[in-house]
Amino acid sequence: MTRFCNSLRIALISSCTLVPFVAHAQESTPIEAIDVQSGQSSESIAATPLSGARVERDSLARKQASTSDTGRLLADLPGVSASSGGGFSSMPSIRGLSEQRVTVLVDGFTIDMACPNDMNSPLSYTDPQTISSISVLTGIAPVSSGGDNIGGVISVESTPPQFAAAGKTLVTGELSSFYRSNGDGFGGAARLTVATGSLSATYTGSYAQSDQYEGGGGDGLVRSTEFAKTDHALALAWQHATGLVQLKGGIQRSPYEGFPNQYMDMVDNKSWFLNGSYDGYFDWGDLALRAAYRDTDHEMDFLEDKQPGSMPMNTEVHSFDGSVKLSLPMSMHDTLRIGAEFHHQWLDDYWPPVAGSMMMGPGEFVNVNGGKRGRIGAFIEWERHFSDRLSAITGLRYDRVTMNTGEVKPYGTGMMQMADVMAAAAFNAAERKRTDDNWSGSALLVYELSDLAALELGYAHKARSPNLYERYSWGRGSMASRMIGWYGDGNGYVGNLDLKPERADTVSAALALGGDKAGWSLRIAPYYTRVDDYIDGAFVQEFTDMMGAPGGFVQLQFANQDAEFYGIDVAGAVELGAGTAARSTRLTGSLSWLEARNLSDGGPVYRQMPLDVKLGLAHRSGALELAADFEWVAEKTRVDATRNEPRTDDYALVNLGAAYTVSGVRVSLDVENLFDTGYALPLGGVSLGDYGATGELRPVPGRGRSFNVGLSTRF
Amino acid sequence: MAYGDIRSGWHPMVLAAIVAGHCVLLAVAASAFRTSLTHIDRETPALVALFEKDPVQPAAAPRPEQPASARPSPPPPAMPSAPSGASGSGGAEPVTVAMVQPVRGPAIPLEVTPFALAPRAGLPEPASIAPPAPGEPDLLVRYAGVLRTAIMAWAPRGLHKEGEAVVSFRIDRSGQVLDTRIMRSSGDVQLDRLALRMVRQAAPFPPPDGAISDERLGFTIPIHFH
Repeated sequence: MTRFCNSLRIALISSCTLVPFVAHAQESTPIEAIDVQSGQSSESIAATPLSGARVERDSLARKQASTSDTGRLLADLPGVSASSGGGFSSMPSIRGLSEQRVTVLVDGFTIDMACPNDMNSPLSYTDPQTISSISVLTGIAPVSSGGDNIGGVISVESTPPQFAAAGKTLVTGELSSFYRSNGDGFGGAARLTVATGSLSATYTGSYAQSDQYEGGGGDGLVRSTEFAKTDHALALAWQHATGLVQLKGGIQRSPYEGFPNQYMDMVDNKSWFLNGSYDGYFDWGDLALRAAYRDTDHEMDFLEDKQPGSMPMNTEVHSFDGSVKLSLPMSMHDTLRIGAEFHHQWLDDYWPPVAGSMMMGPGEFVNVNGGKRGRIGAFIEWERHFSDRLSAITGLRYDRVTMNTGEVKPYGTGMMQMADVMAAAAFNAAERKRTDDNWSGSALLVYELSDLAALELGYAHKARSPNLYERYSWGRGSMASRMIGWYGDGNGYVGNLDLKPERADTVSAALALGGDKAGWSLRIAPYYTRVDDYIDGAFVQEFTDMMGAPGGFVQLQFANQDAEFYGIDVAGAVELGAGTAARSTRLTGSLSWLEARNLSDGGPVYRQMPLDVKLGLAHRSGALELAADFEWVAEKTRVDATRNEPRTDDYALVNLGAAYTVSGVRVSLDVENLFDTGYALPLGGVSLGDYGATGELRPVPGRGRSFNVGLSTRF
Repeated sequence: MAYGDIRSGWHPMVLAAIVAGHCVLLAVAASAFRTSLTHIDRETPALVALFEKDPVQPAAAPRPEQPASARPSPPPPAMPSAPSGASGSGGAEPVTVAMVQPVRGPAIPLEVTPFALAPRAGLPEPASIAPPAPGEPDLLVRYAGVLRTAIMAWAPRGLHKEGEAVVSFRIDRSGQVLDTRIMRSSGDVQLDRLALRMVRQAAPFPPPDGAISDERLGFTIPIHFH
């Protein structure tokens, strides 16, 4: 209340002081206005270097009718691909590195893994309908962008605060809904902001659901692909004389999400969070304080396609995150950033007994007992603008990761459970506390060769400690180990207490030619990454079926190996004809090629996207928007033999879209996979949902033709 | 249950961390708020002083300490000499001066309208402000260019935000900034604060020419972010 009184007081005082300001202004000498531009590549080195991309609300709005999966949506960007999971849980992969190797920030915060199959990945807490913008750094990410990762950064911003002009009240928002014919998917979202000049409140809510989708051609129903979820959040912001205070809280609930490439499905996920932040802007620099808490309850079991049967698995996670960052302008050319971060994850993973089951009873299976993963990090980073055309960022970072967990136990001590009984005894007898000291460094340089050409060069050494499941999964029985793993390959995984952190060295370059003014652009970005102690799977044994014959699946143990990743991303755009704001035709194209080798066994690394070429034509004429997109993906021949990864054929897809805005309402119709092409997802893994029902093992098929209708309006 | 017990052992630490985190947030917010109040308090006397000055000042008469002919002073080093048309003696025409852009591009001509010649609509009596001494507008325009160049050098980079803040500030005879304030807010506290920071960081400025009277040492500058 006092705050509001004080705000009112400030408002009154400032309005009273307006009169003398006017009087003062008459005496002042006006100075010609200064333009502070952010467009130049070398000036934007910290936020959006050449090897980065930013997806804004407008382009998200064009795609939200077609997918509820933020990860899949990002796969449109060169260098980014998506490993399929559930209907809204694809795992983004940047230049071949995925899962916890990539930093995913939602409103500035990381979201911890809370599932042995990583079903509720960070992007599953976002909905394309309510995202404001997404920034992706595919190349070298400065150390200030986060620690404990070796790849790029994806940063999702949902509700940047909006304020009214002084003395006015702002009421603004957006409503949208969609329907997708393939899978009978539908959903909607609402955003409402009410703000004064200093206070702002924004509600965002969304709902999405879908049944199983049909594959293209003769692929038929793809089982275990249904989903439903809803997100609600309230964000409050207060801007005062020197800074901005933000508080945001929200809940997510997903009552079901099928996973075609896992033995389990998500049958309930409840998560709530509270984020607080303060950004202060002072003469000496900027101060950013952040704190967040998230609580997640996650349950797995079988949805209809994997029934009959039941096998509940529960995970609970509590996370706390706090950070302090300072940005200090040292001269007109230099900025120094220093920061400290603290992150703590607590995780419990237990599987209740199944009544009447010899294998899954009589007691509980304790998979992770109060696992703790704490991280304290600090960094220092220096941004220098040597000239108008040359800038550099160099930084050094230290993260200390400590992990520990309690004793575990198998379902019971029967003969069928002997493998797990022995494994639990060995695990409980072992010292489980681990501490890693991880050093990272990054250097990035942007040089503008001319108005039409800019060059970026970067090098980074980064380190990531194993996650709780990689270190502390212990079950060696066939069933217990098959419950672990986020690879969608049907194999079983055993944790490894002796895992070391992954350490990656990356060199990256980017050449950007053209620009908006020139009417065309071309970006070529090659890269090479070598990862020492890359956490991969080492062969333990082959699983056999009831008759003792090999069943096609294997048990692997997480192990440190070495790997290298190299490739090139090319993206271009050209304006056809003289484009204006109201009328333009734009041709875009991109190509991503990459190869990844496991240097320890000489074979390809699992789940790497084959050559991917995209072409797009977009026309806009007043209220009418038309788009045609073509994608061609090469045959996937480089497969990981250790995991029995399936090969996939090449395929080509055509999507068409049209939208018309009338009286502020945008109506869109998209035809996805126009020719109903049947194809297998190169990063889809094996279709275990179908396998259980048909006995035939196939790669997860992609979606067949779908007519997607979208409606949206802003006010 | 074993796993359930662990949680109770874990809670106090996290709770303490949460409480500590929020205390820090509140403390900083409160201190920032105090800053805002003192900020306003500090500026109010200056505003009052401005009110008192006008009646004392003789209207439409040159100040006695100002010589009739402005003391010639060499132009600041970064500035090319003003075109002859901008002598300022007539005083009825807008003054055009060539100015070197600090960071990119060649010199561009700037059209600056001297304040006394462009009274704001609704201003009852333009003569309430002391008319400039001969030559003063010329010097003032040149000096304004110097200030602009100095301020622009401190432009923040890579901001990607849109908005315009108008900063007004006064300097003393040594070039030190006496006070700065947001005359028109951009509506975004970050842009407002960065605009103020640009002016403050650019100070101290080169001392103004002696021919420029004290009353002329107040300036306004719009800073447009995009």
